[in-house]
Amino acid sequence: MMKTAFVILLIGIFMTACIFMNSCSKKNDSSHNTTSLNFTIPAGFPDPQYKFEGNTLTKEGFELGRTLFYDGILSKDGNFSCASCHQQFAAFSTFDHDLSHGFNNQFTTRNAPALFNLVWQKEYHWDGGINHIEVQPLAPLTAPNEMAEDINNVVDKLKKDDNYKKMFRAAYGDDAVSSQRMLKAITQFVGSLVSANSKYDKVKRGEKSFTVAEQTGYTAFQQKCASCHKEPLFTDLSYRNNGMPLNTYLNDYGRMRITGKKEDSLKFKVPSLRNVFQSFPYGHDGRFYSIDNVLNHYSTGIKSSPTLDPLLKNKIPLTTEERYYIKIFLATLTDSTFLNDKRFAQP
Amino acid sequence: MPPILPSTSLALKAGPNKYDHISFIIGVDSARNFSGAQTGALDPANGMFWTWNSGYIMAKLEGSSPISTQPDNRIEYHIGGFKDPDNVLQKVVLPFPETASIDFSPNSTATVTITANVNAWFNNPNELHIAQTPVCMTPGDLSKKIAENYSKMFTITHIATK
Repeated sequence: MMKTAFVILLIGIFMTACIFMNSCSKKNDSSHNTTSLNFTIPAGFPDPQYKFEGNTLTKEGFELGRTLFYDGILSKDGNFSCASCHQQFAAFSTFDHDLSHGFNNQFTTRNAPALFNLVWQKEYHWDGGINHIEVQPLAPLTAPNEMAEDINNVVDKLKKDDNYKKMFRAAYGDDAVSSQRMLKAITQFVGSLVSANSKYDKVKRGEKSFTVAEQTGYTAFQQKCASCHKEPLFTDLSYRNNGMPLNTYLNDYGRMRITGKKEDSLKFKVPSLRNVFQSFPYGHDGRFYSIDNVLNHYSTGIKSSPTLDPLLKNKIPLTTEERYYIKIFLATLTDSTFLNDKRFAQP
Repeated sequence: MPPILPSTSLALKAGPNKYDHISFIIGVDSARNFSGAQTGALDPANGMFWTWNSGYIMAKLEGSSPISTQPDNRIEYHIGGFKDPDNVLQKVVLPFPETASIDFSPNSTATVTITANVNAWFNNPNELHIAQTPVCMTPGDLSKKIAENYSKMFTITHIATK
């Protein structure tokens, strides 16, 4: 017998039989005019994970996504847009902030990652907790220390906004606003953020050549860094414990929070090094303020623990010369075309 | 007795045949947990989606209990997990009483009343003590135990055919 009285506020149960599955409505496929956009896979890049299937890239969808990305309307108090933590000049990371901050003067527990080449990723966030690019925006949108909003509230606010009505109609043929349409539009924008025109890329395409110093750095990079920061994305997208000791205020165990597995303790996603000079500070909690700090960590600072990546068991010895040339090489990963691309700027 | 909550009616079509049970799955199948932004019943705006660890909340029970140690004596059970070994998808099979198998001839209808007993969440077959576990918010063993419990909350209480 249960003696405790309780009030049931809500019982929601999904009972899914095939007949309840709702398929996407296709009624607007051809009844309105949109300008289609092409997504080009840069030379030498692998096949992307996300191919805009069921979310055909259009100028109107992209522009709606861009407007949403730069609009504080997605947050509870109107102050926090996606762009407040993802700034174009910082390769869509947060410039000069270790921990990003959000609603009501709160810190988050992580450094906002740079945003580019996202369609090549299968999972998102430092811990890979997000399994599909389209649902990623829901995480910052609902997190109490980020945008602190409610999905239904956002949809309601967008429904009441004449400009959004116009933009939803342009993108989808009618002005119905839904979380799905909002998310797909944001995905059109963030999925289009491609960085593949750095000096490194131009060298690979045969348009330019490395200086002797850059080439020396590239060779050292390939020997010391490239097994995790794999070309051409400059990440192998794996989760690794790179020997950063636990910050006991944050107690962030990374991937383990998602999988519940001890062997994933302190593992975080390997970040891309493209635009690395623009995206400081570094590390999942932004504890490294400069590339020198990071190189020091790998050569002398790695802390051993049961889940430490096997490649780092002996640290990464780096001579003064190697550090110097590796930094010169990393500078060739700066993509000024991307950083200044007006298509990606605030509308 | 607690008050009986408003009922939900679902209309299903069935071909002419003799039926001896009804079955359904509680939860969202694995593929639909990986499919990006969805709409309708699977719209994340329905509050049944984990935004920080993508996947649907398959069942939710929230309320309060004086023995809960949580703020405002809250109890909150959000049950989810679609990947092995934390998969909480439950198939429920409810056999009709033998004398009441439904024989559908064309144009006939049958009304099957299924009653859900919330108490099953707490003790059938896994004992759940609010004092010790007032909250469940992640996939894992506790979620699986509660899912096993609530899969047994349903009974057919009435069948009418016409």
